[in-house]
Amino acid sequence: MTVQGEDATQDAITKVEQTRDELRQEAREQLGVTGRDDAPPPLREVLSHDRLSVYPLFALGLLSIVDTFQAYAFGVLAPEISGALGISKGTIAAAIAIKTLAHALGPLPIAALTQQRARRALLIVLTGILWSLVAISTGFVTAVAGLVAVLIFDGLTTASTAALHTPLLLDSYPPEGRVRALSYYQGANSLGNVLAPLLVAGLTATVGLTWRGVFVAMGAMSLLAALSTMRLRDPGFGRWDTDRIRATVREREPAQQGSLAADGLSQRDVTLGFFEIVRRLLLIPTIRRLLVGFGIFGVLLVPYQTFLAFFLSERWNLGPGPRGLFVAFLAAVSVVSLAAFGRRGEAMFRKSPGRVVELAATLLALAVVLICLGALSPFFWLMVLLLGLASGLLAILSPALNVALLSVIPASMRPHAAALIGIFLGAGGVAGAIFLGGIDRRYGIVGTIASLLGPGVIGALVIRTTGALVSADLDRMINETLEDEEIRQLSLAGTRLPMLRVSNVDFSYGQVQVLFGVDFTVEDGEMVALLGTNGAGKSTLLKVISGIGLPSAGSVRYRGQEITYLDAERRLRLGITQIPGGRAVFGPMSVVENLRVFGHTIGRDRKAIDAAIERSFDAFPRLAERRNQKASTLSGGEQQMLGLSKALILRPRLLLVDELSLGLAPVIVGQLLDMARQINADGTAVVLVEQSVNIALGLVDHAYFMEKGEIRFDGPSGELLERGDLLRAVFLEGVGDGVGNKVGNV
Amino acid sequence: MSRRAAALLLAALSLAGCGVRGLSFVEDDRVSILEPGDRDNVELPMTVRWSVEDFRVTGPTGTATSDAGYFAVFVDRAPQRPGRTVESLARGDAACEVDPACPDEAYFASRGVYTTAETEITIDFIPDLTEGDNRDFHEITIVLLNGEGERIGESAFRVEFEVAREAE
Repeated sequence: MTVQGEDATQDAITKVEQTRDELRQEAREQLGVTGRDDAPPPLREVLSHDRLSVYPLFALGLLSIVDTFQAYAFGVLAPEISGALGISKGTIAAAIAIKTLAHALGPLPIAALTQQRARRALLIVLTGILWSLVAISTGFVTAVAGLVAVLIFDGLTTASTAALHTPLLLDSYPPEGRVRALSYYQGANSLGNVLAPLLVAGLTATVGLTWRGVFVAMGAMSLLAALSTMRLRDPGFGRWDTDRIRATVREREPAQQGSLAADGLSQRDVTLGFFEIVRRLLLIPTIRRLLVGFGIFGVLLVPYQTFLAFFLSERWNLGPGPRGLFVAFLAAVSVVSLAAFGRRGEAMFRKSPGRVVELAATLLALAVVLICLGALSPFFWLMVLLLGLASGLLAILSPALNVALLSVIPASMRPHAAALIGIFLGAGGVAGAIFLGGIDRRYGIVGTIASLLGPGVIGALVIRTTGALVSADLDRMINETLEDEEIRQLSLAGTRLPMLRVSNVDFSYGQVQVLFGVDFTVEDGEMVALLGTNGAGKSTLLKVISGIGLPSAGSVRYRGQEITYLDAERRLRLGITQIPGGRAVFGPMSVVENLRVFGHTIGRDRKAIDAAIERSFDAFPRLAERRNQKASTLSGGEQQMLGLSKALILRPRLLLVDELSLGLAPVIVGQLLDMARQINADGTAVVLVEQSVNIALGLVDHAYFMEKGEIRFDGPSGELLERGDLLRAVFLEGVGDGVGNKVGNV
Repeated sequence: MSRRAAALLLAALSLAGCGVRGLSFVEDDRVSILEPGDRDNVELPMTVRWSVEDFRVTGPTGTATSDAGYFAVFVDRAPQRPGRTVESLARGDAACEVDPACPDEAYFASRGVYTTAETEITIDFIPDLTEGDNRDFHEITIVLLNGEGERIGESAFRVEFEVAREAE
């Protein structure tokens, strides 16, 4: 390339990067992150600007309030239930534990129900009606089995609050008002904790109802509340996030009319399934770190709520009534605290989302110190004051952490993330109960409450370190959406897209990063060689393409759609097949059984499989001769032939071949390469990771050269042969090993 | 959720409401526990005393009516299910089942279960179940038995108290 040509390319790259930076900044502002110290507009203004109603906030808040009723009623009325039904407290505790488990796991199937279609509102209303009916049914329970049934059903249906409420709120209100919406919602939840004790006390002491009457009355109230939320509608996924980001792209480049290439995959082909979404979420550093933080927070929070009752009873001799009032007081302080936090939190989020997380960590640390001091306080009112303050600080954690965590992921995955939070909190709670139970036996209830300082401070430290990750993950989410929309626009404009495009991929084995910003492209029907030094990351790149390995950053696009986090077996069905390095066969099985196994991945049509097997035997007559021989007894070359037969059977669109000629005689290598050439000639794009530079470059027109996890060369194979600076390393390494021009693999 | 799972859950919920006769939705105030007071600090031996209205204390007469009979007192344990006798609590106890005289008064007393046709009872011993510095709270539940010794309805009358123990 000439100097002028290089300059032009550099200018183009700089322009693309500038445009991307501007788009990213614009997108950040669209997501409410202005980076400035400006005050957010009043919520009323935000709502009127977009003609939004407070109804979703009201409806979800109302459901959150009534959701607390049954849980509270069951906790406080357990002795009465035990006495009336003749069920031991241990049995009731076990039933509650089963309910807790159902409540912890329930959000997962509920999240799964929403991943294909935005029907969160429908599920929220439906589960609200169901849990109200369950509450009414509780009033008619006469035996343990019935009790367990209503508790499990209650746990499963109320799980919708954890999985769906916050994600729906985030899609119902624009980013300029989200922290306030979440704070007010959390405030409603706290209000439920104020009302529940008062309601139970009122219904039992004033109206004179038994526990049965209380459940029926509360269930009826809950049913009325649930019915009043029937106008709740799902606004769709990402109305205020991904849709806005996409709009920034379309504003710069007028929206293209047309349709996507007929050859391309549809969105349906690549929509992530449940476990793919969960796995993808766990690859996001902010999510991973915050989930650990939530787990440790669970160690603190869940047992705290339980042990607090014992603390008030044993240390301050408070009976159920005064304890209920105390809990109501703590919740009331939370309501005030959340109301005060809303606008301040919003301003902080606009300036820097990471700072909201750091604030949450500081508040958590402060809260556990206050709890500790409260536990040790010799004065009742001082204890009330300290625990009240702690409650106010802890209440802020939920909206602060939720807004940070849910902002860095696409809207359709938020129910899954919310479900994971519940599971980590629950798991932490179980660990905390075991841990604190031991402390209680040894040091008493005061020592137990004071010991919450340990997990609290550790949790605060973990959460604090997440602050630094949020911004990068927000940018990653923005980049992914921008790239997706840009490519969509290009595709609509009729631009021909490469069959495979790997962009800016990072990959790590644990803490060891082996791929660094790798870009890699394969055109339809092309044959590409991927060369490099030993440990350069060639095989790892193939794993990222075939889905055996998932990248920590970057994207993999195939036939117009992103497949970065798609399962390997789904990619196989979409036409990507990898023949791994070494002997890619099942040794204990015969040749024909191996071929049949390959065939089963394309379906159960026996005739089609038999025909495909015959094709393989035609291509490799030696395999036909050894059809009933165990694969492990074949020679190295024959095993590679068997491995390559996989491509003949599956007829992929893209074939990834790793180390085909490793350790084989030249004659055999020649036969195998002829076959690879034939497969390519039949229309399959082939990526060949080859140990022999000469063989590889003699076979392909396009080559990549990798070194230390980076692409060092991308161009015509003829040009690579002229790059002595690159190839020398390979040749010298080979010479040093005494095996010629060999390249190892990673 | 599959339709089958939903149907099973609905069936389970329906079963929860089976046998709805005799369910109490309004508090029964026929018995008032007079001593100990709620969360009182007491020493052993302790007296439990209560008053009763609209219920004739007849003792085990062998006839079952809902407005006459006697009392069962439970210390730190749940009473038997409605309609059952206190003897039902011994079911499944292998050691007791092989002894024809079991369950007897001593058996029940050792398990915190007492029956009486009086409106007070003295309890000599309550085991200390606390560990560490925890306070020694206990609970007494009184239920009504008919003349055949079967529990009448779901009514259960409870009081919580603390036992003061001499330092050992």
